[in-house]
Amino acid sequence: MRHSLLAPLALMLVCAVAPGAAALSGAANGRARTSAPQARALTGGAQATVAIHTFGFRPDTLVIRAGTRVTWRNDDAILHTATSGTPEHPDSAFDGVMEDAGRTFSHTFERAGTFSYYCSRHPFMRGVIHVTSTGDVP
Amino acid sequence: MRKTMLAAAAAVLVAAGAAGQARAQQMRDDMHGAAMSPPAMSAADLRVALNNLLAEHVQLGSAATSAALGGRTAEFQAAAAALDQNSVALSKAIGLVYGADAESAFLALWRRHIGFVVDYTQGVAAKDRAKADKALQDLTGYARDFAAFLSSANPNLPAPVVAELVRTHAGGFKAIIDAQARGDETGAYRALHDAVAHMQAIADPLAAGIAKQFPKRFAM
Repeated sequence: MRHSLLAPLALMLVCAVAPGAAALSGAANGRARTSAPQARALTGGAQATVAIHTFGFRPDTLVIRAGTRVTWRNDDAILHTATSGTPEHPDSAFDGVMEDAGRTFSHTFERAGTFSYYCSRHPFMRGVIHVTSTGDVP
Repeated sequence: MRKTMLAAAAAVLVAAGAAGQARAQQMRDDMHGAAMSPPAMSAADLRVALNNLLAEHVQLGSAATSAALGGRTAEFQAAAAALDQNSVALSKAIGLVYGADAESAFLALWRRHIGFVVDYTQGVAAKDRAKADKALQDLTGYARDFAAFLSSANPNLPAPVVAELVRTHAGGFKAIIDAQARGDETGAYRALHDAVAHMQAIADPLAAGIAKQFPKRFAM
């Protein structure tokens, strides 16, 4: 009886769910620099950066061309990951672990689609990358 | 060690004059949901508002765990709802300073630690030592996360200091739950008093660190 009273509080912890998707190759690399975070970015270049700052992916939504290499850079002094899929439906496309501030992880998105990712240690941290066919992005 | 950490926290505390009670209440109301443009408020207002919100966090949390352990359904639901409103108000306070993205991240992070306290309470209630121990480990990990969040947002808040303060908070709340679970009402209220008092050790350096980071927005 009394145990059941504790369950409703746990329900308050539910976070929004983003759709899952798969992606392609990934690789760790060295430090990278980027401009200030923004809510949404559109990039036609072959490189894009996502900063991880105060427990958020910035930008959390990114639009890129196929073939773009995305680099996540951890600015927080704690371990974060960029893990493909969602906490509910993880996939094995990529899983970059950045142990501390300054660590980066890169992954090249070779094909068009919508790719969700999250931090496996802090599942409320979620992002999505929209990859367009080459030439679709101005 | 703990004294060292607390002394370091105190070092960041900036003395401020007493705020008018009406003004502090106004800011507290603003943080509880009203739309608010970037305010011109004093560092003292900020300090009082954060102290009120964090003290309320402990009081409502204690009310929720007491009702849950006692099997008082309606009281628990009301306390849990009020506790979550307090969490939202705290996140709005963070959002006022650091923006919407930080506000949502803070709220998610803050709710996590409440979830770990729920886990601990469930473990104690069920006499499930493994579950209770796991919850305590999660709270220790949370202290590092929360410290990293604040340190990332504000370089005036050293992560090791914040982590130690949060660990102390978790330990204080554990003492409340343990006393409630064994029916020691006197001990529970003594622990509640201590835990509420300790929140000043978090609220004051937090307010001071923010005021130092944004001196034009939070005049001394």
